[in-house]
Amino acid sequence: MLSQIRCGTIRGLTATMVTAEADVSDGLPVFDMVGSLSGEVKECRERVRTVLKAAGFPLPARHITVNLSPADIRKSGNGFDLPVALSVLAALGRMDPDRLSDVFVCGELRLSGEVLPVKGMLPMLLAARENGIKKCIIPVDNLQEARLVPDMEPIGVGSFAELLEYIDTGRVREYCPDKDSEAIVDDQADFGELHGQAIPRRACEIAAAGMHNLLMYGPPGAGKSMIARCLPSIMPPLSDDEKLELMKIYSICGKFRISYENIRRPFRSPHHTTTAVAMSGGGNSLNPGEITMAHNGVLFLDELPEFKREALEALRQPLEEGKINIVRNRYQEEYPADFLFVAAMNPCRCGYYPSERCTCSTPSIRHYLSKISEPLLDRFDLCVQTRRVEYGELMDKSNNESSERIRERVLRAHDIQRERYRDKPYTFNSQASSKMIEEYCRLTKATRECIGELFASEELTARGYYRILKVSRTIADLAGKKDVGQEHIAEAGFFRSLDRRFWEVVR
Amino acid sequence: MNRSFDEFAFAVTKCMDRNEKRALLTAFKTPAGFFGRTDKTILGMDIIKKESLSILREEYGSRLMAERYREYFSDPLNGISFIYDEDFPVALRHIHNPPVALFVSGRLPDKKERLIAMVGARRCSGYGRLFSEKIGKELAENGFSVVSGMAMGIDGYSHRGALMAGGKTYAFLGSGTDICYPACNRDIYEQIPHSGALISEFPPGTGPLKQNFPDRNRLISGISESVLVIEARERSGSLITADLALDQGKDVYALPGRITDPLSAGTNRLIWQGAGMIRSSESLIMALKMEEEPLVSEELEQALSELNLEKDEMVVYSCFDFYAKSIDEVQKETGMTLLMLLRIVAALCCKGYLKEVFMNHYVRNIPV
Repeated sequence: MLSQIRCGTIRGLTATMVTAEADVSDGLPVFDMVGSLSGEVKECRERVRTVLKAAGFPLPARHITVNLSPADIRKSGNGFDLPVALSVLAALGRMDPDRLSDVFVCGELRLSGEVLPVKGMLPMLLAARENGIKKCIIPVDNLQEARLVPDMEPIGVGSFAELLEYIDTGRVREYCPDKDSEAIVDDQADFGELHGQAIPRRACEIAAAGMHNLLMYGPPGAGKSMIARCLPSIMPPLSDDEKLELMKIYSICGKFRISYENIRRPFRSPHHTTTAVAMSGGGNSLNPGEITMAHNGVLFLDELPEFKREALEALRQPLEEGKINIVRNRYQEEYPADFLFVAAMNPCRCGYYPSERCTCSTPSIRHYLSKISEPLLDRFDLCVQTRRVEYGELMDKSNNESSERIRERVLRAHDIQRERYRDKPYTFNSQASSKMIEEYCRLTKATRECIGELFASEELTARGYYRILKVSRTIADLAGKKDVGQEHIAEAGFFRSLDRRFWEVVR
Repeated sequence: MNRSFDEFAFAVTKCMDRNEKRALLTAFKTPAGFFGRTDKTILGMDIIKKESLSILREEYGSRLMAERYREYFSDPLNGISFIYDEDFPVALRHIHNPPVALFVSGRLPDKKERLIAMVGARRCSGYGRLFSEKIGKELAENGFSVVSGMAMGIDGYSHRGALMAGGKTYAFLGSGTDICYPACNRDIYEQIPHSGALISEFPPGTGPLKQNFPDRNRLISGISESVLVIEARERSGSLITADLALDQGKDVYALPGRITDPLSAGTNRLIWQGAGMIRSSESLIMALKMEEEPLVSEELEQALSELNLEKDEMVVYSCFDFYAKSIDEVQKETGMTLLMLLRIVAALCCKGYLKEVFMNHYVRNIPV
């Protein structure tokens, strides 16, 4: 007798539907599984045999074949235990094969019969829904994610016994949502807690308003990390689409305890020993990297020059395209990776260059910066120096503007940009093409002359020029101005990006 | 100035040290005289070991040595000066442990030339850069020749100053004269042979090894009549050169600085110990010419009042210093708007009164 159960496997951030088929026939007593299986899926055979035996259905000494179709897609993940067990049950005649023909089944089994949660449940359920399935049997711990899929009736099971009870009687045990998961501590840093630092504050505001990548440099203890942690708090609240995208990523990473309501703009700050694969994603069993975990949020790299060169170079494509394509010998996947890139560094090894306190030699300073490639340095529109806070600033709290007030201005600037770029494929000034930005800036003759005057003494490259225009457009948007004026240009010039030539002045 | 192969091989070889070479020259007068003798005669003098001699003979006959000889003299500027030569600097004959031969790219100083050494920190401040360039230039204008080590920082700027004035300048290297170290001084490395010389005790092909530099320093102070220390930290190499100069009986002058500046700590200490104080470049030159020093130097005062600046520009200029200072600090001090301040700073940069040394950090500059 042949039986079929619907299940799924994850590929990148999307899922593919898989059908588990089982057949029991005469022949040598074998339990065989086929269908391009990865290690953890092959092992499912032993778990299913034990759990079925414990539930009172010892496998007969017959030839049992389980096929996971389609055969050309590699199946990986821990969710195949339940569908395989059910298809074998149906093949044995214990269950009506049509009973679960329109139900999506997924879950891992322990030998005790307990059902464990599965990574990537949300993308699988969304794929199931697209395929017209309206009912699913899933582990209890995955119920949160199922609630995000519209028009889908989830049946949560905590053990194999509960599953059997549901099949026989249709009864479902009620699970109340886990209270613990709701109570996420609000640990987001707020600019109100930051003392002084007026200039870096302003740089953050511009960065968030135009989604400009930001590089901070300054001596140790000047609050670079603290400032970066505050950044997500001035970005607009997540939209529903963004939230769903993030939930999918968390689902794949097995973060079951984050609930939809409590989801925040991500702030990722990987350590500088992070490898290129951990940064970009990939690995033996494909995992999203730090850049994908930072999707729709902030990726903060502290001590930028200490990072491995390959890890930094891996950022270049995602910074341009907002996504990453990972090709390995067995798979080719695309993960979203659209993040605000914020980095912090010391200007030299001791941290005090260019002040006279610096004790580094010129070659050491040059060596320190040479770890960051020119193309990567080019990705930063904004650059700002942080300073140690003085005692007076610690006491004077009048300038400690809260994140909420900054966010209001940022939101207004976002609205202006959305309106401006409504028929364009991009949303923010930082993404606008060089050709168009000059048009959007609406420079007057006087402003043009001002640019020439301010930057006459430097060799301003074409790229540097457009970068300054983009940033000044954002500054003008923050001020609510239609045209970019001289003061906006001047401020953009002040925040202009760090240039390698500054390190080469010393000779 | 073509040299015989014997002389080249003798100067280049590393089989013998300086003392052995000197002893051999005393015994045999010239390299040709040495190479012409039999092994037995040479070993009989008991100056070098048998192994060294056999290696030397092998080197002498090798194709590599011939190749090096041809290559070195393919450049007409290159030459070798032996201690017994007419053009060998007299001052260097009399220092402790004098060099046996000097590799020269350019022309060695004339007997009548007055040589002044300028040394200082590699990582110097805007103040040091400015004054090494200025003093180097004015020395050259007054007929002195500037001797230095072509290192980064003060050394390089001193050479540049002298070159700017079209004067002579001599660079003693810690590597062979065929190697440009540091690479960022390539511009002066190429200019110096045409108005002075690159001089090295080390044979061509020698890299800039750490142990070469103390040897090189003794030549810088040894050849010069006075040594100027422009900027030096406490316990720095420049102070060692100054000590060496004192041992060799040379005059030492130092440029004073504020007591808070680590880069002036060494020079201030020298002045405290009795070195001459460089109060202005003109007073220095008068002192070097053995003329009466003027009592008051009005040089800097003049410079400030002579600046052709608007009132606002003056305010901003006076906020900056010879040490890097950032725009936002100055903005706090002056209370100007960023736009206005940036405009004034840009104008000052155009006129050459300020120089950007790092992003948004400027130092004072005196337009040349």
